[in-house]
Amino acid sequence: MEGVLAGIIVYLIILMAIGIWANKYTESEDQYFVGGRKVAILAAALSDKASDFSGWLMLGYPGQAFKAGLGAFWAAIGCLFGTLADYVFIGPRLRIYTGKFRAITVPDYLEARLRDNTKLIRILGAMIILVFMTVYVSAQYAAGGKALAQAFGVSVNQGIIITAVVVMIYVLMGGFFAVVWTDVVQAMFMLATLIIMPILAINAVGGFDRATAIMASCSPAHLDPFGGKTGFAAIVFAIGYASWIVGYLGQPHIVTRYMSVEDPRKLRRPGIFISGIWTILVLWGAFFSGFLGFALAKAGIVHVTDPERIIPAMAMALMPGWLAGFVIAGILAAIMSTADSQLLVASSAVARDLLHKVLGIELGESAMVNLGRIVVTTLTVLAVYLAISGSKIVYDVVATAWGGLAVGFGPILFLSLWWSRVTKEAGIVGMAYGLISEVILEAKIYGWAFNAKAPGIFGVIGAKLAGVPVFFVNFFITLGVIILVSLLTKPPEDAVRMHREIFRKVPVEVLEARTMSQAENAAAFARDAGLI
Amino acid sequence: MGLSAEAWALLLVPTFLAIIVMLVYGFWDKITGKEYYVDDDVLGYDERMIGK
Repeated sequence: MEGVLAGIIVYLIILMAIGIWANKYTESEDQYFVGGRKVAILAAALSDKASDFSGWLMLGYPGQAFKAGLGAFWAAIGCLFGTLADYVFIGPRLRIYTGKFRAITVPDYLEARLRDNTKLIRILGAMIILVFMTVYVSAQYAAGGKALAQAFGVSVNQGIIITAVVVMIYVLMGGFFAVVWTDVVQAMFMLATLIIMPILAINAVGGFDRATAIMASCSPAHLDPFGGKTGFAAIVFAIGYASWIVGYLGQPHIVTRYMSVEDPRKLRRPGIFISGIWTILVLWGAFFSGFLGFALAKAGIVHVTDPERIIPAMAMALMPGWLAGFVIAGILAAIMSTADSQLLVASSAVARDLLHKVLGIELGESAMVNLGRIVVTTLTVLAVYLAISGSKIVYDVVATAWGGLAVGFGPILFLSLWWSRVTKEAGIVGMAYGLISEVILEAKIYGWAFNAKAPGIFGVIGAKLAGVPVFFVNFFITLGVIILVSLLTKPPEDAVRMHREIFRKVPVEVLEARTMSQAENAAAFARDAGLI
Repeated sequence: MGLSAEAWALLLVPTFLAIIVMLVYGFWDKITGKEYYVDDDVLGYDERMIGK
């Protein structure tokens, strides 16, 4: 127990040191929310992934692999291609546009891009963020509660409160810059944890062949790529897991990272390689931790009452205390690195989008930063309440929040970056539809996934698509709504012209020549100033 | 025991496809010889573009 605690404390001290260091650089609103738009690509790419992969990666997803076996790998496929889709379709173009607009939040960008003078897009964006980010953060606290309960024998609710307090303290300390750099450390902790765990599991169970033999004897469906399903049911099964892919296009806490990067072209290279390779490694690690954890549990080597606790349970059973402490720290890293980014995005939705831009409340920059900090504290209390009183199944709660953000922001973000003709009316209707439909479908009719228990016609549809997340279908409906309304309305000519001009491509040689010229200019300046 | 060929295909084929996507996108500027034009004006603040 003492060893575990020591590992976690060392980890927290590292984070605090980074927070104190970064705090020196956080003076203005721009610095607080997007790191002054000067974040190095390595930090931005790793921070992007640490913010993306949360308690879901360390608890929720291994729990699914534990329960469903090989079929759960479809979720990893969805997440991997979702990550790549963000770099191909969102990152560089969003960075170019937001640099031009001087936008520091997603609603900032959408309002400027769609020339919305009604403030409705900003209000809708802030509402989507507030509703679903609070739910998302509550899932992180639930995951933290489970990990701490497994490690220290405290109650899950006590663990939730401890996690919330730690996350809140260091978000308040540094804002975005601290979050970016702590995310980098956390990404490394997560990677190390998820490389170690499957190796340890294979070793403990007596080899990979023995693990699969145990599964074959007690649950053959665990070894089937489609969970033992065939025909149409197999397709629905695969889509149900892989559907995470569409959600990537609309997660504000992830896409904000692209807005902060110093040069959009670096998202192409090395950005996509850093994120892509890291993602492959952690998804394989998380999958095999849960998959092999099932064999360990069946062999009686590890005991878990909740499949989502399989990684902390394996760490406590198979590792010396201090090393288990680092694994628990790795889990906390995943939770904290997502929760902090989400709190920051939610805080900016209130402080900047609603109070500053919609209500026109003018505050000094340091007052705005302080206001953001008050919002973080308030949202933390709300999220803790949700985590304690709501479902503690991390996979399901994350899917609910992911879905709301995916439908609310994904279609309009994607279309606004790739289609010059999208209009503000379409944005308003699409975002309003996304917000309202997701709340009704998820809270009142289905829950996060289609099922046959829904009333009337919804039950008939639910039976056909059982297991497919509601957001997957609703994403494409919203996309269609935005396209239709855009075709029925007219965008401003200058917006169309700007869209066509801003993404023009030029021969690489021209850019290289310009870079050389800048270097020459710098050398000339240094010579003139007597520096060289 | 081990995994079936279908199971290995599920694990490996998408992973290799993802690596190919990374390589193609990562070097798309080299492949096509063109890249987004990004200069100080594009990245800088421009009041006219806010669209108020």
